[in-house]
Amino acid sequence: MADRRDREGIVVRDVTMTYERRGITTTAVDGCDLIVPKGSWASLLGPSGCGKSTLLKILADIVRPTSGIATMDELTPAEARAARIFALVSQQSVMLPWRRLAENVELGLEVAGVSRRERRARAREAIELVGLSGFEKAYPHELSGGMRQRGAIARALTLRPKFLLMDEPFGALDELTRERLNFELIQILEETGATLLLVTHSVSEAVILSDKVAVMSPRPGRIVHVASLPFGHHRTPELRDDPRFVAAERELRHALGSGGAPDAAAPPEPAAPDRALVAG
Amino acid sequence: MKRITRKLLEGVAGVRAAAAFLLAALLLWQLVTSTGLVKFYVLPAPSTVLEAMARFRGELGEEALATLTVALAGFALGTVAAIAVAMTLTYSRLVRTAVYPLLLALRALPFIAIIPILVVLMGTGYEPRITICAISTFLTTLVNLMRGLRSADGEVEELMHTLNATGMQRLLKVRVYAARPYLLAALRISASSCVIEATVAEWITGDSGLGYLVQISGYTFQIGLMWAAIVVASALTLALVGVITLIEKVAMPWAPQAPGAGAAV
Repeated sequence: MADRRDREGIVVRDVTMTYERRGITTTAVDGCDLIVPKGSWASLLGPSGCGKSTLLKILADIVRPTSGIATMDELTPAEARAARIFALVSQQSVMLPWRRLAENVELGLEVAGVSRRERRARAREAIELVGLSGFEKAYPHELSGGMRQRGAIARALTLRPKFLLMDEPFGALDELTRERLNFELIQILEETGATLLLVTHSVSEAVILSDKVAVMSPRPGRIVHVASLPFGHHRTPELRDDPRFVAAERELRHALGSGGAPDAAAPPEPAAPDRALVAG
Repeated sequence: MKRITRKLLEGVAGVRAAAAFLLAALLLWQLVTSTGLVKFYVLPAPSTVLEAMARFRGELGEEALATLTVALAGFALGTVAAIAVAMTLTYSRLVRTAVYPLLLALRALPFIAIIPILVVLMGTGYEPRITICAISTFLTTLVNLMRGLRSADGEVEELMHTLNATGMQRLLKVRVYAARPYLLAALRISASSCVIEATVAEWITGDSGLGYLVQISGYTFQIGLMWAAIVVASALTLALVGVITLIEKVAMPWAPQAPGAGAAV
């Protein structure tokens, strides 16, 4: 039975992703291994273009790896998508501009064929959880970036996902909003018990939101360091003053520095094949 | 509806300024023409045009109705056909690759030049006039809709994909809405071009309508009536475009303001 538990949660085994563009073969992800046990929180930390988003997109069944295995509770990404056990939150809070907030939050349930009554109830609950009560009738363009991102998180939560895949969910927000949402997310994760895989290029965000941080280096995208963090799941903003927090940040900065090029020098993440499975 | 009322009220201030300008222009026009410097058949006085409008209101109304019937019938037929064909082309790659380039090439056709052909085929009744309006509406709307139906961005497509949405759900929950600004932009263009095409077709078929009236009054040297018919035709176009603007506000309550989204003429 111990063996079975090992395969629960997120398992990424020897995943490689290469693609060709104008005759040049690029390796976005090179032989990555990662295990995120059920109910725990992990981050992929690295500079732009290191393939961390590609890894997340493989799990979300948006792109298929060239080789290797990725599973969530032993389901392939395609099976996991069909079973609706994960939800993806991306950097640009994707909202349909013609839908009011509540309708946007209900979208996933609507697509899943959940009854209107249940949809309403679950959306209301999720909107309350992310602190957007009172804005149900607002259109996305009437909300701030932070509010839209909370809305996107609420939409993900209505599906009660076992796995929350987040691709720089707070990357477009200012520092203060970002930090507040980090701790709000912790409360939500505590309440829902979901497994988190977060992609970020912020060291402190990775430390705040993770039990385990995998540091990636670019070209080819490899996991060069894995840090385990001992903070438990009940975290408050005071955590930042904890000497262990500061030490963890230092450890990760060091791993980033020795692992790859500085952020500014990195080219934008290759986007060509990302929508391969979506188009058509 | 409250929102719309407010928007209309906001519009009133702008209307006032425009009305003042128009009035000034009319006064200047009246002055120039009443001095006799300009011959009346070159430019009749506004009062002459108004007089003709009052005297021939029966005829003007009748012919305007004929033009409106043609324009609206062609507009409706063209729009319905464009929606049906756009859906088919969007969902069948085979049909799209086979037919769409041809349809695009058709847009290069000078529509007005084929009216005589249609007259030979269909006679001088409403049929050729409605057909020409329908063809031009169809092509304009089709091209815009094809763009609109594919305008949902990659991130939205990704979202629908991870939500495990079916093709039909993507169509009904995303594409139909994403296409709406494009559709309305096309309708706005078509509404005014339909009146133009109806009027030109009436010159050629010469049997009824405002275009016919312009021509006949020209032949009989009733310059006031000629101008009056043109004024009524413009009013018709403005009214149609106004209706489309109103529909825009009802059909897209989410839009901050009416966007002139990506219209291809």
